[in-house]
Amino acid sequence: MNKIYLLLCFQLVFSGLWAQSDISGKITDKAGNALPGVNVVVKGTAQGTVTDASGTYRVSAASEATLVFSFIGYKTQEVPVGGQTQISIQLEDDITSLDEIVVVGYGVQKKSVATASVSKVDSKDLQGFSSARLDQMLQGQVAGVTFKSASGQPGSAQNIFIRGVGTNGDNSPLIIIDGVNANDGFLSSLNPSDIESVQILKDGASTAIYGARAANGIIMVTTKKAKAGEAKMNYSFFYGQQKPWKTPEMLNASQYVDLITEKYANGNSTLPTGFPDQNNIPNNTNWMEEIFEPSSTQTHQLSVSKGTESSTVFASLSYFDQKGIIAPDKSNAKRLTARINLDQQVSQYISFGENIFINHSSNQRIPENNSFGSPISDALVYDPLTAVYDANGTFGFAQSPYVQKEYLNPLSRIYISNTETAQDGILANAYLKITPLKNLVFKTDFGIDYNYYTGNGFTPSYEFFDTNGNQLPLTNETNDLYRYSSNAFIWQWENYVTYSYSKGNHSGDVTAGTTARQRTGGGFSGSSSGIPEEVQFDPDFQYLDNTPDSLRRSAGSDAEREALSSFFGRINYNFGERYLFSATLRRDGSSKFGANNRYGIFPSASLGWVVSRENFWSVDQVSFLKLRASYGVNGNDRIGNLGYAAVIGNTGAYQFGKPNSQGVYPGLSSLYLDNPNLKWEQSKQLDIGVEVGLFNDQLTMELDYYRKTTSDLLMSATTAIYIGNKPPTANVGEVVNKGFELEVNYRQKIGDVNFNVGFNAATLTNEVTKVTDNGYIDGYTWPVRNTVITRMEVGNPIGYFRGFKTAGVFKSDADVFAYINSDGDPVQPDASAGDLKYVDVNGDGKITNDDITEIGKPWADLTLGLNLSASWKGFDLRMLFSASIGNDIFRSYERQDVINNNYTSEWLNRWSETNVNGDYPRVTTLDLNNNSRASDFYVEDGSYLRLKNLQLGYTLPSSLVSKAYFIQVWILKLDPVVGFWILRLTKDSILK
Amino acid sequence: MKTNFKIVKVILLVSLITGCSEDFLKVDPQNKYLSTNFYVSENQVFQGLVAAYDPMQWTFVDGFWTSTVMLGEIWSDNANAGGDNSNFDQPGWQQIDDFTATPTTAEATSFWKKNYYGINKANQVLNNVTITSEAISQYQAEAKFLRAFYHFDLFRFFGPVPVITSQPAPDDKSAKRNTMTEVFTQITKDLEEAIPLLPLSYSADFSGRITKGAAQALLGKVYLYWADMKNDDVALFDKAAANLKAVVTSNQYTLVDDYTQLFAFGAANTSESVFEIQHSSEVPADFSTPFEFINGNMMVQLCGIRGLCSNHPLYIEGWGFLLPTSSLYNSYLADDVYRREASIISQTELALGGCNVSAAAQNPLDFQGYWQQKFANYKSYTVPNGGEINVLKDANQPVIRYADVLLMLAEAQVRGTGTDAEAMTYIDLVRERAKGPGNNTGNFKTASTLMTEQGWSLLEVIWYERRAELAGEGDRWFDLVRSGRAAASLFPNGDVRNANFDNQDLYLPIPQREIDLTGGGLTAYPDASLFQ
Repeated sequence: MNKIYLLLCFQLVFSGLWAQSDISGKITDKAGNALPGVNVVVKGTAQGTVTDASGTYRVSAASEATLVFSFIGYKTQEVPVGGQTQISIQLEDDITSLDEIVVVGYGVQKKSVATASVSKVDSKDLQGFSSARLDQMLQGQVAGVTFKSASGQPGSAQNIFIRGVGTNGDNSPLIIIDGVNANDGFLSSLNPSDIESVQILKDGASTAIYGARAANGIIMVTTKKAKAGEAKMNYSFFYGQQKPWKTPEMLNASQYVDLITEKYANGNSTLPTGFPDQNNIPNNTNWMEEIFEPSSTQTHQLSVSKGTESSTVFASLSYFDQKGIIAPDKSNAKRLTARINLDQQVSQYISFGENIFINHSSNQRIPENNSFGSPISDALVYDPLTAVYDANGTFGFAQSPYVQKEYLNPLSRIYISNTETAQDGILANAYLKITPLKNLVFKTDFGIDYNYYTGNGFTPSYEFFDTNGNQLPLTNETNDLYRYSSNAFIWQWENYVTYSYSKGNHSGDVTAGTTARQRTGGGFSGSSSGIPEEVQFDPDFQYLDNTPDSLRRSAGSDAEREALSSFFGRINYNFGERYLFSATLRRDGSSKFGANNRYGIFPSASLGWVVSRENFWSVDQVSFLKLRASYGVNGNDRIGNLGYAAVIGNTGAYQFGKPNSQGVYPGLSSLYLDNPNLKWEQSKQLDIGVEVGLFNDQLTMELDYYRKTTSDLLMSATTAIYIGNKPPTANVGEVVNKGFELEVNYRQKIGDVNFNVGFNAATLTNEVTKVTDNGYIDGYTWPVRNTVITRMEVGNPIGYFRGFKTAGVFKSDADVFAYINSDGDPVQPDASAGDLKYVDVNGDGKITNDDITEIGKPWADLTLGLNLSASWKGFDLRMLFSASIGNDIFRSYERQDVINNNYTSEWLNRWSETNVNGDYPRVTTLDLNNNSRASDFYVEDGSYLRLKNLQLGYTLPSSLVSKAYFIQVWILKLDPVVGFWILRLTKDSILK
Repeated sequence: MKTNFKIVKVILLVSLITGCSEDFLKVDPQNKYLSTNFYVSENQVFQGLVAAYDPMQWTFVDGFWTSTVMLGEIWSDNANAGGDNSNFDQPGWQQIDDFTATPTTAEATSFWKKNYYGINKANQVLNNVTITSEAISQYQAEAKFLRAFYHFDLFRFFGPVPVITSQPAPDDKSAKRNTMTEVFTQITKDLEEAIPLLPLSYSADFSGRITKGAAQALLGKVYLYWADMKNDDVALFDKAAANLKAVVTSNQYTLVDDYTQLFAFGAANTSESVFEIQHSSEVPADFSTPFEFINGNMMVQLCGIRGLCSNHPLYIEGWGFLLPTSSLYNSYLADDVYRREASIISQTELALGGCNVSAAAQNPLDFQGYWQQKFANYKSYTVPNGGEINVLKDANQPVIRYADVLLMLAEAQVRGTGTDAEAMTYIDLVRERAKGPGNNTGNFKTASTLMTEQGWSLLEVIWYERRAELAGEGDRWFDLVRSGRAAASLFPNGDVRNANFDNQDLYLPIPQREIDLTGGGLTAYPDASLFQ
């Protein structure tokens, strides 16, 4: 009997398996269009397929089974088979973005019950961008995040500021990639195609759980995981041509000769010997045309992914190659990346997984954006009379006999610049997740971040001649080179427990954990000179030991170590998803601070009220309404190690033994003063937000107001000079950033056309509220007369521009004498007609340094982003606009102090006897009025509206491509920022 | 279920272990000494001493030229600032030249910084060393000399300044000007203590280091200033004379026979050099190198002839600063040509050599037809190990030459209790050499001849001799100030310097930043009451 029963059982079980039947159907969208590529999975198994180009599928499943249909952008549907053989369904658009999940520190949360201010950028928002760098792709997508590029050179760093500028020091946000607090550099070395989502954590409530390092906000990157039932291959190739969007227009040779002749005449001095007149102009060189040339960018990207219910794997490879628009052979970036993300569900209790990312990037660079010493600044100053090449010179490049100081023929600058850097990075983490009890999750996660950097530079020997063949003191008798390598290894171990609770209207969770993090690093560097001339340009010979004179070689090494150790905890609670509460606490210990202030405590609390879930809510159009407020405290420890101690170092050498046996001896003394009281920089932030969903969440809006006070700013202290050493790092000053942020999303479908509009706007008011000691700290020194033109000062925005205010140009000498003070004396006695008229700001009747005042600021009052996309049948159009209003630009590249410099074409409208209404001042060699001093004449409005991205794609109709095999997209794209013309080919394969 | 609870316990334990170790955060510095564990060997103390020597040779502090030679000349009636033809080139130097410097003049800050940084580094050697040995006593004696020297320069530039002999706290704002007596007391104390511990000379490897003679000569100079500024205090003149005499009787120094060789290319640490700041081109550097690490003498390129023809046999074009005045050129007596021609070159002389230099390239307000050539911009300068030549020209800067010692000794004799006869022998040594190479005995005008011919007092002969002998070496202005001869009348009528000069301009203003930080505790200019 027992046996028979057992057999029956087996039979029943097996018959279940045998009772498989073929099920087929067609998946369409609401409008009835076929949806290709929909995942169809038998729930609880690895079985599944995807729909073909006509939206149909065929799958085997038992009649008790349930089919799961999923597709990005649509709501996932589950349909029990129940004996059907035909299951055709319509997928509903997934437009309830407020129901999305947001990743917060150490967990995830439903956005509808989150009380934090978090902006999210999904992979679909990043699709199709030509940039191969995540940091550049985020631009314009998120409210309240400002990007400033140091230069347009491939591979150059981009500064990211979340909610304004908090400090004069390091303002970079904390970068968390799959839970690992990663080196900032990884943000630009990641392969953007690997990214699932990027979240910007902006307020104190969301960042405080990262405590000590999160005062500048957090960029949290989550990379892709395969989905259950998915088996995909994706390859895309991209090729682009780029050329400069716009180059400064300089005077041509004839205009230049006019201007210089006039300049000397106005100064009553004689022209340089041999300076030509209009009849014997030797050359007409356009340096801008000489240095800029079109160049190319290409990327290849390949990924495969496969997933079952218990195991998923995502793997990718990518290659990126971008050449610069100046000297593409010497200014370029290459990057190769690989990734494997794995997840395994071992049992009901245990799962584990890992993310491994490896990248190799190499960069060649030319000097950039310096006011002196870069090809662009050379080209902005160099005269058009000088020929590019010198017929006699050994080295080919002619130098100007007229423009000297620190300037060179821009092409010779490129010739002598040879700099290369490379970086190998590994970013990896592995986790083990144990769920011993229902609702209790323990996770241990170990991550490493390793970077190995190498670099080398080489200056050839050279001897330059001017355009007339005369030798100049511009020589380098022996070539020089340096090489370095360094590495930084970070490990991070995090352990945390989360207990979640839900009963009736009460639900919530509690998380507690610890983090330990250590960074060690070190490096070697060496330099030498005198590579044998015959091989000096061969990179294979540019090594230190190839310089015969070993006395010329020098080498050095260094190492450092730092550690961070923390506890953290969080409570989330909500009542009926209506009343929301959350609180976090973190205690950090950092080796960067002395024993007096090694630990810091960072709390936060936030509240939310989902008004639309109240019974009394009856406004049908408003489908969602949430009010929230948060307050949190964060820290910043972004300073070097040993800032609290007086480190002994080389402070300059001295020499003895001249004339016969000279020796140079290193001098060692403390590099700076010590500061045992050094402590965290602290930022306290209040955030008040409203989230609204209208018309069934077709239109969503999120509005935030924040006020962020960053105090105890970590900067160089202001110490008296008589103390006799460099100031220590200290906690000085306070900055307040405040503003509103608005993000609006609207989705609509009219007929066959799908629209999506994303709009974001942010205002920013930045004010320095305290600077210890003398109330200001000087910033950038302009080489023109060595003038400090930026300053951090109480009552002004950080880094505001300083200079004289002007009131136009004196049209005549009579105007000069009409500008008198209360004594009846001329305010500018040294001025002549055509000189700049300065405003006597302090009213003392003369123009002195006391009249220097604020003349601009580099920060925008308002930044806007507009992301439009529309699709119709196979066509897909995307546009991204960004705008910035209220920021100023200081034209620091204008060097009126350089005798015989060239001028931009705006100077054609300079004042002269024949153009008394000119907007620009006269030119003169004897500038008694000092027109070249820093003034608002050099400041212009930097507001802009740019179409950053425009792309049109076409998906080949499914009738033209083989069944369920690939989708091909052609995209024509214009990126006006650098003038990209792009052709893009994507091939998406679905593996059977 | 029980097992699961055990797992939970283990997990909670593990979670707590990782975050709590105090030792984990105590990170020992790698490859770095801190001020608390340095200065424990003779070698480390020597390295600390070298660091204290270094600021003397800074000529480009924070991007501004800070050459004492330029300061002593441009400020005085010997020279004008110069530069390009805009008259705004290096505006701080134009201000110093024109007596329009203010507490925000950057160069004043740079001079202030250079010397207080030097004092700090000397103090580190004097205050942080715990070991003792004969060598360390000598190192500390050198450090005391340096501390005295930096204070003395600060006094000469800014008047009575705060004396710093220990490390103030970083947030210290209590500094006030000390009185002149306090400043000189500290300087003379340091030097008196250093003298017995310093050697008379060094091996050739260490030429240029501080000797007993250097300390005695500096002490003599300090007493001379003190005596002069303390109403011609005879006792102090005698102290000056005693110390200067000790330099003479040490027999360590002789005048270089040919005056032109003193500043010839490559001249360094000659037999006449008592104290000389050393420069070097060995360590590569350029304009972007932190200024402390530039070991060249950057005044050479800056004070070279602007717009020089490219075919000059010896010199290469410079940037036209430190333009000698007609007043200096004309001050040389008719027979003092050899010395004048070694110091100054005129546009006429260059043209005679076939080298036309355009006046249009010069600062039109400052150029009077002459350029300095004691720190000439020789073509022969090289960068043996690479770097930017314009920052690496390595002309040494003689601070106290034996000729200066002789003239100071003569002056101290005349103004103290010494005899005029003895004073004249010293002056005549200098004058004999100035006439030209070889033995000029009987062929030059002695001090007594000058007194007769010119109707000068012996002191006036000394004043003439100091100007002529030391022209272009950066001593002129300070000599004028200490002896009360600095006055508007030194400058021609109609000259901006004549119009702008007032007594405040005897000193540079203390930087505004220091005034602000000390809440006015430091004053821009010294009050007269401090000079006692």
